[in-house]
Amino acid sequence: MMIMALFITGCSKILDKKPIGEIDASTIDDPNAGGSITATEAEQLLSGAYNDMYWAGEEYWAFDRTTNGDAMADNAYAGSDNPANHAIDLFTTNSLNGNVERNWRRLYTSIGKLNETIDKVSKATDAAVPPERRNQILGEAKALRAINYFELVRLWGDVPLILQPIVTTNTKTIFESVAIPRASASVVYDSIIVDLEYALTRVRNVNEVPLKQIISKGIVNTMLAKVYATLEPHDWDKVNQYCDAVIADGYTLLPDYDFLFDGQHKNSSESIWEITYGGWGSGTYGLWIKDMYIGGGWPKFNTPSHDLVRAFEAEGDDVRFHSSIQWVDYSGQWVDPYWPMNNLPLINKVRGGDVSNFIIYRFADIVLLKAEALTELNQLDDASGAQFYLNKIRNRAGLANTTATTQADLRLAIEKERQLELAFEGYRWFDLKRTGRALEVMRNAKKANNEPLSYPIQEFRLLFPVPQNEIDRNPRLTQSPGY
Amino acid sequence: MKKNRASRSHAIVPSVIKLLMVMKLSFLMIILSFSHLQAKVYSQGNITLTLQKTAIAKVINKIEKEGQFRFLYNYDLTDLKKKIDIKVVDASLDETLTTLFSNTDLTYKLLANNLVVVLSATMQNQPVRVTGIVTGVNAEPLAGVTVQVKNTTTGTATDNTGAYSITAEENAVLVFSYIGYNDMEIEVQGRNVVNAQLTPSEKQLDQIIVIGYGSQSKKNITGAVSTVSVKDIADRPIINAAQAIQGKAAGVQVVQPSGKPGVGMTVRIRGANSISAGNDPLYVVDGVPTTDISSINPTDIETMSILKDASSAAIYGARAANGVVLITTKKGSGKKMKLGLNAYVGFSKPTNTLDVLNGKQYQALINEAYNDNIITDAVVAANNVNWPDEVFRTGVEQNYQLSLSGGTNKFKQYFSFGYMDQTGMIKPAYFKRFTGRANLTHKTTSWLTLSTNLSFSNAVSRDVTDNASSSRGGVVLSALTTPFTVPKYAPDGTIGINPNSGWENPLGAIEGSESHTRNNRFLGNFSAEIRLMPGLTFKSLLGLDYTNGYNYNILDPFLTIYGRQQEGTAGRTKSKETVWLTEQTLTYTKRSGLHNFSALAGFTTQTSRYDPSSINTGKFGRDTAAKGIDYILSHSRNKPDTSGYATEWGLVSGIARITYDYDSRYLFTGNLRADASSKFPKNNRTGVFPSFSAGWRISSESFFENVNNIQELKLRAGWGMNGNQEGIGNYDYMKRYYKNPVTGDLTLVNFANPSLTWEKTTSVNAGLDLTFLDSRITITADWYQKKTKDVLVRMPIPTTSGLNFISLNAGDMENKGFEFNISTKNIRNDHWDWNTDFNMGFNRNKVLNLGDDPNVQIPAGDIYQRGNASLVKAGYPLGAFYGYVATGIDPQTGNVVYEDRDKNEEINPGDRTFIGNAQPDFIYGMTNAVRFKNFDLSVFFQGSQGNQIFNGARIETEGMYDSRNQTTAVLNRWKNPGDITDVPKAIRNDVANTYISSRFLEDGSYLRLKAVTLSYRFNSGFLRRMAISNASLYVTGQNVLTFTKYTGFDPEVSTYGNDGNSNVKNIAQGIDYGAYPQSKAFIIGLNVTF
Repeated sequence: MMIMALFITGCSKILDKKPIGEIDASTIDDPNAGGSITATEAEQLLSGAYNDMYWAGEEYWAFDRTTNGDAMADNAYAGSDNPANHAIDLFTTNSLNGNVERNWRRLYTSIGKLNETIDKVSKATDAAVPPERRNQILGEAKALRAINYFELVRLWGDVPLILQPIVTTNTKTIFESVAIPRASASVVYDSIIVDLEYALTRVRNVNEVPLKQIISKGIVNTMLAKVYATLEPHDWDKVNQYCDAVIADGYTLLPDYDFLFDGQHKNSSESIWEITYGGWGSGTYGLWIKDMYIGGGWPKFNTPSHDLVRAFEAEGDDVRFHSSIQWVDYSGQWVDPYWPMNNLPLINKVRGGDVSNFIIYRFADIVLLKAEALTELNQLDDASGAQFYLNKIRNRAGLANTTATTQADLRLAIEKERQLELAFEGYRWFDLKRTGRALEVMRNAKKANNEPLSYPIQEFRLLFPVPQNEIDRNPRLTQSPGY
Repeated sequence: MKKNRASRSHAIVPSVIKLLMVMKLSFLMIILSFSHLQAKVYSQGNITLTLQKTAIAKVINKIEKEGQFRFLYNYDLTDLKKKIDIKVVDASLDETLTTLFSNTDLTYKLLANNLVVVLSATMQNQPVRVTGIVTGVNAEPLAGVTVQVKNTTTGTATDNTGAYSITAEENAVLVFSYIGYNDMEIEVQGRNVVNAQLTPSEKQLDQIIVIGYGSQSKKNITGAVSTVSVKDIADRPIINAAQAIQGKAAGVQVVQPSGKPGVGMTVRIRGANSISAGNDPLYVVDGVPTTDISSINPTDIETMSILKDASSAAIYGARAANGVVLITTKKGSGKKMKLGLNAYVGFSKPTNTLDVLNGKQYQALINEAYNDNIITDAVVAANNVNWPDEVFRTGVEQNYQLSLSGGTNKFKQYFSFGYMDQTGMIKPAYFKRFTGRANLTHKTTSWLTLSTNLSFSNAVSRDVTDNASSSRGGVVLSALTTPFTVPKYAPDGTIGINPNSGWENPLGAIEGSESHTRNNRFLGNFSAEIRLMPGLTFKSLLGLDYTNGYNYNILDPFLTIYGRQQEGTAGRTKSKETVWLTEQTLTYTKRSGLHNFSALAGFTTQTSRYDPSSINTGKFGRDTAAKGIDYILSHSRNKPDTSGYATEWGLVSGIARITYDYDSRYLFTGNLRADASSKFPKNNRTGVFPSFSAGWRISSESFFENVNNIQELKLRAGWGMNGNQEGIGNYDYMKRYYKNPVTGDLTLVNFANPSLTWEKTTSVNAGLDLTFLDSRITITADWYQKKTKDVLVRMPIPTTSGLNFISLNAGDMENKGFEFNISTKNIRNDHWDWNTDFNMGFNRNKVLNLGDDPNVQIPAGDIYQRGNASLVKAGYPLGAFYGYVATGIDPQTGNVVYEDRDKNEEINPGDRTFIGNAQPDFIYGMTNAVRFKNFDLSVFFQGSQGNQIFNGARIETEGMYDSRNQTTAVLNRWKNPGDITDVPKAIRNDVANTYISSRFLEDGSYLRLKAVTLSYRFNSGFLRRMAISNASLYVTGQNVLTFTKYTGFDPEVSTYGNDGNSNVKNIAQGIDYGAYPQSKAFIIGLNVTF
């Protein structure tokens, strides 16, 4: 009996084990007891959500966005020898495509974590987290959520809209809370706008945030301008209004286009949203995408297209051509289907190693969007109208003023300008979709000898298929039409 | 001599005490509190007593408690219950007892040592006190032998010195019985001393079977237990103890996932019960439960018992659902010290080779696929490296073991030292293991036995990447897919690359990076066994399992592309795992006439703490790399990243068992175990696991005496419930965040599941044991059905939740089957001996349910850039393959034709279906052992029938979609419209012909001559002159012949068989994706005993 007694007293020590090195949420998350997270935990949750997106999500934000935005469009070929990338480039993708699946998962993983953060922080008591800071945190988190949804809705159209954390009471609640059907794109856009408008009045100005990777008013205004230019029907007044707001935030174009990519001008005045990588060994994270684009060895990704090279050459756009593309002699290292190996073009916009920053949105995009809005609003002049803003971009690149004067010509001129200015930055495909020109442009893509590339593109391929594995996890999810 | 022995036995005491110091204080107190009980009392004393209305027996007790006298009497004497009044003051024993026994039938005799025998005065025969020593082989005293007066309930048991004392009538017959020995009857014939020497039983039925927390005679076993003994594994180059079970135990499937040195085995006892938790059995090494037996030297093993059904395994409760393998290591025996030497050395090569295209054939293929003259004649002429030959070489295996065994009556010892060295067929991979063991038993006093089993192992290995696509650095697939035109090195000394793909040759994987592991493990126990009274024993055991792990990897900064890009990377992980076990058990055995009863009760705890810490860095030069890992870590240009954490679990359990048999004819066993585990939430952490089983030995019935030539017929049946918590994470029930140590960021990593609990497997077993034809044929057959509830499912949840998975007890699984073992003694005479053992197991597995939603399905088994090959869904067995159905090659286009199952006129993922199953219809093994004069020949076949293999390697070796080299299978490819073939055309960058489909599904059935051993025992006359007691020389062939239709390297393969994610490991069975090939080995060995 004595032994038994001795042992049983020792038992609670044996049986009550707490994680070591991870945080047991019961200490910070006790809804039944009306508990609250602390101010420190609120900050840690927010920075956790940021860093999950920027570090675990680097593959999407810094790399796959270029595959989707440029290789799927006519700026680049898939390069490499990954079948998933080739399928995206050649419009043969299906619901088992690995890239498509990882893109979906990445975006929703961020949203799930942001929903957790928003839920926790909004339930924090005033005493723990002062209302002003709490509102800032919520504004940043909601803006990030909106940004993720913007990517989703552009790639898949209708997508499940989920704004609350999972309810893990039992199997039923688990599935009911997260296994929901696709919401129509317009509903998703409404939600995006609600989140962005919430954020706009609460987040800090760009000069108040420590780094440009923190959500600022400038980023939110940029997002709103882009959202209104994308949703159907486009609302050009709103685009114009939010572009003005960005301009008023004080961003400027850098004097030299190459400063954007030379690694010497981090968090510059042109940069709106820029991720800072501290590098390997810093305890944070390093940018690894350079090796995907340059350096001998294995085939490189997203190799520039003949169409893009021809566009640079036709425009006489040497400045941006040289900043965007470098020519290498990699004879004998692999065989490229489009280019000779002794004169092979590769992306030149990612030059730095692991401590490089990566710009997601920059001011030139907004300037061109402003030009586009003014074109659509029929304010075409070169004093304060569309031509004025278009020329700002052209002049910085050392090009003469545009010769386009009519609305129709300006539309095409701006499209071309965006192609050259923003090449390999993940814009082209979404611009073409937005303007309804994707099918036409892709069907006109040409090889080196000007023979058509004959992409087998059909209208349904403007949207990605929903990953089969996600449909398997959520039977209420329907496949995109056509797949 | 005597002095010597004494001093030796004393020498052990201080060290034992030192060991005891680390045990719980309570344990020490137990030992101390009992130590005075046995103090002998010789002095005569005076008795003072005043008692009213007290039973005479109680009065005797009272006198006995004074400590001067010990009493022996038969409880059945009725007068002992008579109540009397007594008052004596300072009386002698004679006075007291005369008063006490007045007016009764009782009288007494005073014997030596103040032993008082109380008897009936009216009995005709005078009882005598009989003492004696019971010995066994080599005149060693036997402790715990039951000594019974025939046809009475009077009985006792021998102590540690083999001594007993009993009161019996002058003409009584004493029956001596001991497990594993023949019963012996001796007439007392008025003697006071009756010694007995028991002979070990030759009968299989009397064989001792180790069961949980004890042992049992085979004839009394009521559960399903298979055993593998030392002779089954002798003379075979066995490196992992689990290999010893393969093909030897009916219903136990052992798969060696690859031929890589030191690879872990996949062991499934009667199928898999779980989806996401563990499916491996619990191993118990000399009483210490563990999940890893890679450090155990198989040559040290005496027996292995495989507890297959719920009733035999139930004593391990919450960890028993997957069956239990009890491993008992050798103990010292015999009085003479024996020095044993075992040594073998051998060579290994792959069991099979695959032919790949030569330079010319490759040129034709690629120029066809690229529709261009990509590979010129000059390129073909420039290099001609046969990459498979370059990569697959001859491996070397060697093993040396020295053992010292023997002892005295009091002290037994077994020491061994072993060294094993296995150099792989793919060069940098090796596995070396040094092991040391000391098993000591010290019979300290007649009532106390101290034992310890200590083992130490040091295992060092170097890994090479297999089970991966060649573009992910898998060396096996790279060996097959690197064209002969690729040079070994570029002119600058870097690894040569395929100029059409940019991928490096296999030397990149072999020389470009290195990965080393070193594990030091101490596994041992200390125990004290105390005989409280005849039949009642208390045992206290303390076990320790400590592993110190160390591993590092270096990516060369120069040789490979990736290495140059990263400028080298290096990492080192150190880990420590400490598992403590305490165990307190009481066992009681009682034999009363034909009634045999035993009971076990106990209390045990186990705790574990694992803490790894790692450091990673990058950017260093070749000079730095050459100076080794420690130098790199302090001289790299990157600031090293460090990380560390710890994880713990604990288990507290109570155990109980009752066995009862009547005349070994009617048998009953009941087990109960209650476990409380730290892996589950507080209100949900205790589980109770009961089991019952019964047996009927029909052959012992009187009506069976006339049945000719059946020596044994036993029916067995059992029911029980077991649990499984292996593979469930230590904190899976908690919602958890990871906190970045540098930034403090919180990231959600796990959702809470407050109702997480163990898996519960309920099983029934019915069995038959039959021995007939003069014991020449023995058949054991078992039928079983297992249902597992609350199967842990790492449920894939929509990523809209933020995470991919949540751990839920959502599934139900069923396994049912039939298995049998037939042993025959075909020839038995002076020169010849031929025995055959044959076993076979049929298991049917089915996932009954995967939670509330019928659409739930869980994929696993990733094939690079193609998706998953395996899928679990309710209604299908675990290990089912899922993909397209390929129906052939279109003669017009040369493309693979897939079945359009959803009839939507195109091939899309909706056309996929279940296409096969990795689980076999049955598995079997057969051993023939022939002895002819001094020769022994053992031929062991083993096989698996009806299982399929998804040969994912063929996607890379027959895909023809890029510039990889291919196997010669593609020589039959489609080339022109109208060609009728089963190999599609070569087409660049198009993977439509290499979807996961039935095209790559193959019959994985095989029959294998697993081992053939011929040994010669040297003539003893010659040996005696050399002071050698035994010597034998043997040659063994391992995996000599394999009969299979499988086209890959070897049908015994499982790329995901050792996956760290148990979800993947359980679901993705039977996939071959470039596993290190199995080896065929030829060994020559020598065993000598001095």
